Amino acid sequence: MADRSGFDEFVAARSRALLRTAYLLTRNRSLAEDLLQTALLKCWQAWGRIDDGDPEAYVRRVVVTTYVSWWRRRSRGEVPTQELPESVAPPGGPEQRDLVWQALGRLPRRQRAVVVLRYYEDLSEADIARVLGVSRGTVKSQCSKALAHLRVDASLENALEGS
Amino acid sequence: MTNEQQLRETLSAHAEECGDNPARVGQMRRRVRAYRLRQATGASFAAAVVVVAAVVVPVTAAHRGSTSSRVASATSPSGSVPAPAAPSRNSPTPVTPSLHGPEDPRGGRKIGGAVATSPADGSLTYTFTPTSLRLLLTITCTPRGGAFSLTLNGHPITSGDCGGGGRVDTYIGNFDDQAVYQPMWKEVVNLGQPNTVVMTLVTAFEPSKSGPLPRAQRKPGTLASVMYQAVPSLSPTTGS
Repeated sequence: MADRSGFDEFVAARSRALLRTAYLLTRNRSLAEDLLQTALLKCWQAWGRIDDGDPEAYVRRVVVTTYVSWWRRRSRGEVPTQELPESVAPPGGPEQRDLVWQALGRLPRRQRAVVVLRYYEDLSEADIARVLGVSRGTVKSQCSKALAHLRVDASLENALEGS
Repeated sequence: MTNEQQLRETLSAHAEECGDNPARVGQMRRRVRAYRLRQATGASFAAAVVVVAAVVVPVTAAHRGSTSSRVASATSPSGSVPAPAAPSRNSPTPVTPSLHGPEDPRGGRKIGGAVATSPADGSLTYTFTPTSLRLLLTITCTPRGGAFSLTLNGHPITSGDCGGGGRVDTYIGNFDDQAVYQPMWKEVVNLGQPNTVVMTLVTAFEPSKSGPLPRAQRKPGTLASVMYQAVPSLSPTTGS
């Protein structure tokens, strides 16, 4: 019988940080909670094996791989918008952050996951490769593709010109 | 265009806005209980199938043998036994009852559903008429390497691959967590009216360095989906 005695404590102590990662991936509070709980349930089944190592890294990996490989799309959740804002936001301000946020939502899932792990979790390319189960070269190319997508995103083009 | 610092600031700012769910530990306990129940139900069903198979198959084989012998002796002067009929290619694949039975172990009653084995047009359709938004949708997809999409009243609800191992069993909804799911169902479900679910086997994609590559579709296997509604006797919880 696996020892799962520390599972509840882990959920209480660390799941908020994991929820943030899930939220950045799904961009939806409800879906993020569901993604996190789905990943936690998967980890609960293996808790006896992962509790001794770094459970948070393990759960984060399950959150990301669950999101990348199999995640539900809601009608308004991940449909790219065709309506681009007409106003130009000042560089660096909250409005521009919204534009960047919306542009991030238009990235393919794997690229978005790489961006979140690289620029929010501050993981190295090697660590991201381990999380996603891909090569370091793939992480590099996904990251540069994501940045290239953002550079040519029409909603950001004008807004970021001055930055 | 954009730079790394802007990305970091944007992600940090939005991460802060998502708040937390203080009821998560309790919700996880309920999910774990439901998971254990499903496991127990599945194990019981598997054991029952083994027992039934162990009893029925020899009896049927013996019965067939005697019948075939009688038929053969009646129709064939040489007494040769006719070859058994080839099994039907379209014979239904058993589906885990805990996912697709009339009752759901989490406390729901089936209000609609369909199972299609190797569907010719790669899809299944069914309707359900809910009286509340306490709903739970189960999905099974077995074509190895396949992928599916599911719509409800034309709204895309979910999509995904059928698993490298050739089976995905999942569900959407949680009777105990209405704060999360009720708004979602409210967007797409019409109470008291027939609602239509369409599940379609679609071209599967696999990631590669050069982007997604199309793979074969119309793979053999089972598509199944059932909509459950919480039984009225269960008192709704407020969730988080």
